[in-house]
Amino acid sequence: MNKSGAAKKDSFEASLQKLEELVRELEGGEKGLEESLEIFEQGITLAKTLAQQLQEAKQKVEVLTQQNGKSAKTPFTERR
Amino acid sequence: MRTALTVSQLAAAVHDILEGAFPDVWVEGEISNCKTYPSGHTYLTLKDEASQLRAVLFKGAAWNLRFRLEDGLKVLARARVSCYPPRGDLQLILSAVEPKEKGSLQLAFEQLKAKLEAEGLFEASRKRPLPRIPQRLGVVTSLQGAALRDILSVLGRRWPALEILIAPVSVQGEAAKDEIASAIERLNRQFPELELLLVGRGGGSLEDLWAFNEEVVARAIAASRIPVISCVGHETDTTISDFVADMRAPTPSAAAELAVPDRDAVLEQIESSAAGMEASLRHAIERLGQRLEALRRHPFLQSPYRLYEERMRRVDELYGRLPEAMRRRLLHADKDLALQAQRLDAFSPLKVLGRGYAIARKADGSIVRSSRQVRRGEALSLRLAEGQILCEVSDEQVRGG
Repeated sequence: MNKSGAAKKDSFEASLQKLEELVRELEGGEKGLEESLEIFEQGITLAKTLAQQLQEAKQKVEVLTQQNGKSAKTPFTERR
Repeated sequence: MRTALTVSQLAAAVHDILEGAFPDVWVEGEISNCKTYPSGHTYLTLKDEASQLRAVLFKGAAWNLRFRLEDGLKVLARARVSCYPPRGDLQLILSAVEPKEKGSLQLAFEQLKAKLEAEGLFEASRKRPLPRIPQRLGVVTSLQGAALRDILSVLGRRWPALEILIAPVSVQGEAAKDEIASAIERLNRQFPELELLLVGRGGGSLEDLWAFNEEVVARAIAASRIPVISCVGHETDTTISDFVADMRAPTPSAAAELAVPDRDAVLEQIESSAAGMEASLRHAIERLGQRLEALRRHPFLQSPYRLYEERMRRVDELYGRLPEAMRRRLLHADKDLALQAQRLDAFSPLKVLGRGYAIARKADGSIVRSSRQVRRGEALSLRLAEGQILCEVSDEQVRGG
């Protein structure tokens, strides 16, 4: 599995929630400057990664097939 | 000589006559004493107000019956009339049964709905929450149908970051119900990582959609650990699958919309999050700057002598208040004195004389308080409020007390 595939393992929703959390922390304004900067950096990186993931994402469609009683996935090609 | 038939001969003859006379009739009546045996044969009584006839629906004829035969149901039955020789009973052998008051599909739908509802399969508490953003999604539908095209296109537009696994099934015809049910079961068993299943098909007649009203499909959906969105036909079509699924979508396209969020909306949310963070950080820095500035401007930091000056000012102020306090105190004493003088004045002898009294004194200056103190011809002086009179006593008398 390549690197982007590994990053994908972290579910998009979990990352989005993490981002929301970071924003809330920063908005709370209770953190020190150094910590705020760290949160900000982390948040911006996460936001960029998420946006990039979304923009580059390609739909992957497979079809479940039965061969000799065994299930397999094969790429889907639409029949016209 | 009488010729006698055996019982069997007579029964066989009656059997033949009956079957010959009523090989194929429609009879209308109400079902009672209905019982299906493990063999698959169903025995029942058809009755009206006055009469009743025993009837049997053999397994071979029962298989294509959509609805369940039950007591109280008014039906039209196609039958041949027969006689069951071992018992000699008259018996209708049914080849088809239709409900009298509604279509058989409608009745089957209602019966299954009532049954599953009684089992609690439609309870809101059974509904599993759908994932907000699924990553892997299964679709159970026909490869050829418009439903699949619609679903893939909506999913691709809204949320391309998705792995989709299609389990192709026939969605109408005899095999459909079992294919759909086993596809749902197989996806659950072999691909538990799927987070959501879309199960459905495009529009069609009630018969076309029928597989989704079958018990085996309803039970497969109910048993699915993966949440299921059911999407069968058009908006107006409601199937048993819709009731038992975790979410009902009016159409396959709508199911795809319910399944995933809209990418553009999420992108916007991410962007506004980033902007919000920047603003928050800027605020944080500004606030820190303001605090620093406020501290820098603090008088004590500006000039440490302030501390001393402050105390000096206090001393000066108290010092300034001293004379005033003293003045007030003296003023008070003055007033007190005047009051005392007034009270003293009230007792002054001059005041008494002013009211017309006189003080009489002898020549030696002693004050005369009684007429017995003086003799005739003695000189006295009378002190008045103003001036005095020298006079002589012409008579002395003692009167009264």
